[in-house]
Amino acid sequence: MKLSPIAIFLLGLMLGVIGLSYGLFQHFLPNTNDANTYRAWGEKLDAEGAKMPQAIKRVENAKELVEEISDKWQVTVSRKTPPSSVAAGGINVAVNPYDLTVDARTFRNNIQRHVNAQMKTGGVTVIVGPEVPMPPDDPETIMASYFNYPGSQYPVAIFDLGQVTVRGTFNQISENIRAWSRMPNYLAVADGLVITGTAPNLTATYNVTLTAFVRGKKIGAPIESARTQAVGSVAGAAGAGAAAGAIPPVPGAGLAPAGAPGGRGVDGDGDR
Amino acid sequence: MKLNLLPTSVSKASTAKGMYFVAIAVAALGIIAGVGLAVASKGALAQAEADAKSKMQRAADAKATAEQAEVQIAAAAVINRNQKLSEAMMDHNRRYVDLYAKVLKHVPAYYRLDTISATPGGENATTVTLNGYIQSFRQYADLSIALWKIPNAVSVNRAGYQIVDPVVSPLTEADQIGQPVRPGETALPTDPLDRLDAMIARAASAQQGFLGEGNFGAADTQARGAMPGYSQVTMTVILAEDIRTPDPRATIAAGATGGGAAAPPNGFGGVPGPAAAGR
Repeated sequence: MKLSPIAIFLLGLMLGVIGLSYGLFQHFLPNTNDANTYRAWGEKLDAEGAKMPQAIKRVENAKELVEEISDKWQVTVSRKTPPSSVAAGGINVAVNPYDLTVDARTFRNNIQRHVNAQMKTGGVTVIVGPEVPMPPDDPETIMASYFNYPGSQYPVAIFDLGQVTVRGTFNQISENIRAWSRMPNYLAVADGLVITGTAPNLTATYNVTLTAFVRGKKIGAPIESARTQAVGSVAGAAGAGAAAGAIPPVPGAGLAPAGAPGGRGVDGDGDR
Repeated sequence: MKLNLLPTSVSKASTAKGMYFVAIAVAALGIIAGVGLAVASKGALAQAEADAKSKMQRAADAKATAEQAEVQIAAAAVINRNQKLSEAMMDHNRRYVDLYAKVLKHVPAYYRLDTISATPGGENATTVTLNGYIQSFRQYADLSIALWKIPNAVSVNRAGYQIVDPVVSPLTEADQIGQPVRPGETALPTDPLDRLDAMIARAASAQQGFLGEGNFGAADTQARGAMPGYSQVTMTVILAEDIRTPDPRATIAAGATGGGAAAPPNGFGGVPGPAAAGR
């Protein structure tokens, strides 16, 4: 078969166009598109990378802010939280729950003393004073009900002391209310002040809420662990007498870390 | 006339031979161009990809550094909240007395105050309720005006005044003058003798001596009430003030989400320090 020159030219042109089109559409345009995408991404990365000085500044600012907050909180802790030991008038929640039921009562009485002293500030006559609630006897629930743990992230005792009534002059009552801000070892807030009566015998009623952020590093083992420790202690003591024909200790059961069963635990600070 | 006696295929064959070269050249040119485009674009893509990836580490470092700030702030969120709570609690204890002191500056002396109370009504609203005693309708008006002068007063409402001020009565057969009389009283006659009789009758029916009203004369500390002729008045003033009480229980509970199940890693109550021993 003989082809005309035009047909031959067109054939060659067609092959050329096919080759060019393949290169253009199959490679050039997709690659160019991808390259543009990479370039755009690169610009964004550049922009992000350029934020490094700002990020460093931000970290420095955050550190300063955290230090500032920490310093403030440290001052608050030293003035407005109860001591971390019962002997000093506070509470140590690192002890086992049975000891805590006893210590919490002492703690409660110490709070009541503080509240009673606070109520008389300003020279008022206390008509109805607030009563700090008694802690429960139940070692299972004392942490949850009295120290709100683990309901909150840390043990904290919050007492809604209810309505109190005092009598005095306006200045005495004002001083009495303001003085709650200065109450040592505890955070207290007085609200709902109502003043009635005829001067100079004014009667004031208001509500008081007391908050005690508990200090510490540890929280006493739950009662199951305390029981295990006690059993381990007994077993260990029995093991000591195994040579004399006593029942051998349970394998794996250790001695209670704080000495004899029922003894007080000691935390890392040496506080009870 | 010149005749071309060669067959037509002779000249076309030579033309076609030349056209083969042209066609091959055109085809080769197209293919080479296509290959060139592919190779060049592949190189550009590889270059762009390499550039972008080289920038990635720097950007990731910047992001990680920025996130460190968030982590640090988040770690201090608990003590920050507690600190703000403690500051709010301590600050609140002066709010009521400061508010009352501010209000009392604008309470006139003729309004003998018996009770003052305040109720928070939101971020910018506090209702102060005053209960006391005044003697006249004029004082009732002046009292409202005086309370409007309290800074940030939004509204002043009054209630309770019993009008006892004398009013001019209409003329009657007995009273030809129209004298002012207090509510509940009858006008005195105009005739002098009748008036004398009426005054004697009024005096005879009036309570005499010490009335003992409103705990006046009582020896104890009971609040004194209204004197005779005085009215008990309740004034309600809404101020654009905030005396809402911080709620430690709700505030601490609000931050307890997801916490509390495990022992705090860095102790509690104080500033976070090195991780303490386990429980």
